[in-house]
Amino acid sequence: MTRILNRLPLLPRQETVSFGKQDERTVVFSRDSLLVWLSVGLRGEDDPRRLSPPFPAVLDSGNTCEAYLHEHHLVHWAGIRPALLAVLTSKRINEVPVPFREADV
Amino acid sequence: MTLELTEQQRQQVTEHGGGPVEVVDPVSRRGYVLIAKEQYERVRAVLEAAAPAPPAEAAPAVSPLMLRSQQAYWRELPELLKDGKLHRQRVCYHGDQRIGTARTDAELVRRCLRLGLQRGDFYIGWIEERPTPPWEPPDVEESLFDVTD
Repeated sequence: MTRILNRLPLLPRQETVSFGKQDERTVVFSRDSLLVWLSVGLRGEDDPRRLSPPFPAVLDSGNTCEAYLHEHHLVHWAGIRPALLAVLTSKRINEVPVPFREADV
Repeated sequence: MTLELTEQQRQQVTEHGGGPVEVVDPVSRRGYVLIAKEQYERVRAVLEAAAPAPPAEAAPAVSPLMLRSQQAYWRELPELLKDGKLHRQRVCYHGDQRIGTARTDAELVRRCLRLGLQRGDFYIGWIEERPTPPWEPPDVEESLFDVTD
């Protein structure tokens, strides 16, 4: 893990990243962020055409648990309805119950 | 569906250099603002980010079938762990029934779908030591999030 982290580039400055089918979405990343590109799909889906379009995310090297995605981003960035992903368990984050759903990232 | 501007609206927009032009629904009296599409695209991200969060509600619960599948996995995991050949493979359960083991998720998912099962009707777990059963919340470092069970 450490070796992979060392190879990932830190953003040298604040950067605006465009994405989406026609680069119609933009998001600003802070300096020194580890920017990664994600696609989301149903678990075990091995057809790349059935994965979501790639979208940018921050790699949090201190997070030891799977991936966090706001429902807004799951719906509008990845184009996946949450109901398609089975609930495996749930967790309270900032006092809000958050479902853990099954997906490949 | 794209609506066309009325002549009056077109004149107003032109006079204002592409907007913004205020219009009103004569029935509801609700106000709207016409702006050029390129202007809208510039503020779109801000508008979406400011969209009100969905009302707080209980997280969707694990389905009874999924829970039963997870419990079967947890019950049989110690036995599966004794077989060294299965180490780091996946095992799939549909309720109390073991569907099988495989090296990839995709293989087990395909097998389940061929059996007519729907996603969410089965659970796929790793054959490896794990500290907590799958229905319990995973451990999360609390450095960045205020996490409580």
